[in-house]
Amino acid sequence: MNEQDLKQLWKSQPAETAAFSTSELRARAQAFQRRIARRNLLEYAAGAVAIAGYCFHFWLHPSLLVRTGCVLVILGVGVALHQLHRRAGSRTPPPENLGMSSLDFHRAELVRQRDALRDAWLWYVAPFVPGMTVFMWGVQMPQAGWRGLVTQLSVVAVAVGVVWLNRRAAKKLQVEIDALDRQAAGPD
Amino acid sequence: MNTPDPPTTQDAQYQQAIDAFGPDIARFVAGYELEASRRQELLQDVHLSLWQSFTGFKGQCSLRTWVYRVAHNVGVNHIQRSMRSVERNVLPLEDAEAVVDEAADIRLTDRRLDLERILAVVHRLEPLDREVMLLYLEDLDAAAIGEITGLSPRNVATKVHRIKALLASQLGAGSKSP
Repeated sequence: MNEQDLKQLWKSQPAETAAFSTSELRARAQAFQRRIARRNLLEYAAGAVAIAGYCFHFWLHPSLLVRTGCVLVILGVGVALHQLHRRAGSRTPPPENLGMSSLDFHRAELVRQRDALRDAWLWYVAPFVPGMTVFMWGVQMPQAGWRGLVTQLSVVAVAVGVVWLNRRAAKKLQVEIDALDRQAAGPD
Repeated sequence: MNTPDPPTTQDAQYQQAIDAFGPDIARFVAGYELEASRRQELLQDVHLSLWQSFTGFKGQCSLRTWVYRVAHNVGVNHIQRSMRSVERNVLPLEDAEAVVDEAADIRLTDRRLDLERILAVVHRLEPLDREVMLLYLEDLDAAAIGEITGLSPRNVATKVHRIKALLASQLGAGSKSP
């Protein structure tokens, strides 16, 4: 089989062409936007429930340490919700980016995912750690004393572990980005 | 009474793209998904993404280049999201030459068997090499492949050379230089 036969064979395969009206496509796009909006709303609602919960604990516990922890957690939830709102638009690429060359598109996607992993600790781990540590230490304080502090430090250690895993995943994406850049540079 | 919205530029561009390149898109999709039901879903995703992408199309490239870029970028996103191990089992172009397709079915006709072998090779390739092979099979020249992929002409030429050798070894036929 020569080259032209090969290409003719490829082009002769039965193609499952699709026929969509633009009104159908518009409806699908709107349905997708509604799913995104519902997801965002659920996340904001979860934040609101968390704030309500810690307001309750603030009222329930007279301890200064516990109340300080509650305030810190509420502030942390506020920071996380603000970051969620600010980054909502960057979770999926804008549609017109799909018209970029493959190298540019693929690289932009990898960079977006790498940056999200690298910075994730800033907006979904760090805001909660101080408040949770102080709150739980305060709740355990009368009985546990210094042992309670050790328990809370283990919570911090878990948070550090999560951050480390995220940054390790980001480094793997950087390896892929570097490989793409080498492909773009071409063979020696 | 509901009257339909007048067609927008976006709508007109989408329709023009589908009229000209609909079958091409379907073939590209076959290169990114083997399973029939998932292939149909991917085809729908490509059409939706293509229509949405025209909000950003300002004639910065030819319509064909834009359509092919969108189809391949959606395809690549699809295989990267796929959790199936068969889709993750991809090889660099250099290593794919050593793979022998053992899935021959003696009941298939020769031409169908050749097509199955081509698809088997396509589905073993990494995304960028897969795209170059699919564009080569669509009879695009190196310049057009470079414009769609963003690869340099030299890089495209190297990959096309390896693709020809790979396909020749899989189909057991000598290749002819154009």
